Amino acid sequence: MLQNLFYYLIYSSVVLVYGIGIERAGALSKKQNRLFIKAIKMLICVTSTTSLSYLFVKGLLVPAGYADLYPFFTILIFISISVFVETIIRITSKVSANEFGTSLLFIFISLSEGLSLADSVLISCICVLSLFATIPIIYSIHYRLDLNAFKKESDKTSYVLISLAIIMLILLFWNNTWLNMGAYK
Amino acid sequence: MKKNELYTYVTLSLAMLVPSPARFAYGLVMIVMLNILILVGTIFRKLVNNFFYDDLQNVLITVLLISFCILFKQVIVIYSPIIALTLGILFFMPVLTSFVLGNLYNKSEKPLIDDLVANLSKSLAFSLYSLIFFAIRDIFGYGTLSFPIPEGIHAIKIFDNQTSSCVGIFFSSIPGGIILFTLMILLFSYTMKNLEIIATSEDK
Repeated sequence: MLQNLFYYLIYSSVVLVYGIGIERAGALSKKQNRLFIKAIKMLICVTSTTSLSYLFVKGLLVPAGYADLYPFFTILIFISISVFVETIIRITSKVSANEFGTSLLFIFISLSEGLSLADSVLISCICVLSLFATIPIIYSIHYRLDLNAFKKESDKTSYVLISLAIIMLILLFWNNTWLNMGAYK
Repeated sequence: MKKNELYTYVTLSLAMLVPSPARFAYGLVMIVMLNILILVGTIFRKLVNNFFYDDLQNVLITVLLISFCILFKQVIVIYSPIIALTLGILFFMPVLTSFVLGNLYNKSEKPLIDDLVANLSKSLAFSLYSLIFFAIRDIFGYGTLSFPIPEGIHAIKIFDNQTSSCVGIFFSSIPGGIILFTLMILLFSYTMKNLEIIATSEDK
């Protein structure tokens, strides 16, 4: 379990290496109100959809030989659960926690890379954790750029992206395949 | 191209271009799929606006696009299983890209032909930008230009027997991809700013 945690959080971070949710993390770091409710909503939706889809796919689709159709059924389950949870959150706290693309891709990753039900649910939890762990990093880069009098959004964007690339290089220190010459020999 | 569109290119590149492998062949497959998705999505949005409730628009279009992704993945499995295996989860990335690029969230009041022309021209501009991006990564990273064939990818060697350094292959990695597209976006915005200055000075 710790192995999975470190893999999807640090070595091959879902947000940075798989590339899912970078733009979402950037958008969330600009408007930080009620991040906790958004995190809870994403966690509930992603884990419950993953577990239900896993059971559905393993019990019904795989014996019938239609395992490749899993995204179709996953999205139907996800829409129902997401609308239900979003309605409850809007009624109780009047915050819109609507999120679609990133959650769906997290679910697809968990389903395709999990070895068992517990594994898939664990991977989906770690995906959500890694998204919300990237937000403070991007926020601190924005804050630092604001201190240095970068007021316009468009100037900041390229610096934020280059800083993210440098952070990725640091996290990917174990991967030295780019020191190979490739076709240049 | 307005400043807004340049900013959406950043979002779309982060969503679709950066995670994919650095070969031109995989980029070609994903760009073809993106164009087909935008075409189908635009036509289907018109159908949904005419025959279904407005609230169901986003849900129906999403389900349709994901179904098309599954269909396209099976076609690629039949044509070349190796490419389908490598791309894996990346078949579902162009769905979000096509939503943002084709503006499929909003209801459209214009006739179908105007919608199709607008969306396809936007997607062709993005495809051109992406193909340049993938070509640079392939040529400078691996020294080849690759095309998809049933046995995998066919790489045409462009640089032969060069004793150059490993600087180029950095751009084939994921952080290198981010830096490359940041440089391209900076180049575009610099060119646009200068063209605006020239245009406004000519008006005066």
